[in-house]
Amino acid sequence: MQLNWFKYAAPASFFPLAGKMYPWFYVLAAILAIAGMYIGFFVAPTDFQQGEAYRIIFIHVPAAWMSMFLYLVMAFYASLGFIFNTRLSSMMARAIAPTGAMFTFLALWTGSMWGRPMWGAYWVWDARLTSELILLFLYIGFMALQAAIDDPRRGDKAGGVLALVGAINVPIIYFSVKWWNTLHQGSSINLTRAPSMASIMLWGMLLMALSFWMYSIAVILSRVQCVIVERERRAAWLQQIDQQST
Amino acid sequence: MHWNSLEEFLAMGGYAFFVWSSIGVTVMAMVLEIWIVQSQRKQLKLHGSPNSQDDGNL
Repeated sequence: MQLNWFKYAAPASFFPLAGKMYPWFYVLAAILAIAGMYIGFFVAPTDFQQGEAYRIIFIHVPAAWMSMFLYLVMAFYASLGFIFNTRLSSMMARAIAPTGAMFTFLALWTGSMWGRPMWGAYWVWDARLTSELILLFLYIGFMALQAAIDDPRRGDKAGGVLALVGAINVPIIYFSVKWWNTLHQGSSINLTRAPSMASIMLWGMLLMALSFWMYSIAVILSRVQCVIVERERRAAWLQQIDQQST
Repeated sequence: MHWNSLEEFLAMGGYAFFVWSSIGVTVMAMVLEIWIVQSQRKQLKLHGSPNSQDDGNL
């Protein structure tokens, strides 16, 4: 049996698949959010140093993870668009950007709400905060650039270049707490060491991260359906006109 | 469960403003995002949008 890797690369075949899938991801997101928030607010104990304020972590860290991860996925789709010249890849990149921007804003907002009681400041120009703010500007720049270009294929390519060039920012955000002497806390979760946080708190965080991931997939699949219809509707209309005139 | 009362839960150890505004802005942002996508779908007359009568495959 031959496996056609590009079967769902055609907007026309991906469109109904996206429509069938996205409601389920909303359901998963809701279930995981209820579980995660329950653990975060009713099971996890009070922190010895930070009291109840630390509970912001159950939104802040998952949102920050999503902001970085979604950017890499967006850049990945942009590079697929360049390599295979598939327009659905670029449509996916367009669909991801607003959600990525939202999570970046939430990471900055919740971080600010956490910083005020703990550090005494809503904002500092520390390495991680500054590079996360740059990430927000990159998302907004990506959306603004594509909105400013009328020809969608040219817009795909221009946005794709911006997405790829900006991708260097994501490892900078990630390693900033290691490379520079910064205010933001270092990593508690590493690839090589055991986590340095209580496991019940870690579980709450992981459940919320999964929830945000399911939510992202749901919104992005729903949004890409809109992008597909906006881009492809004209093509179908033109084809109908051709058929009627021959 | 370590909350002795609803007041204690809402007070969040004195950090109520910071914790609840974090949660509040998060919920508002997600609701807004979903609402925007849903109204785009409705405008394009897509399945899953309110009041659409087609079967969903445009």
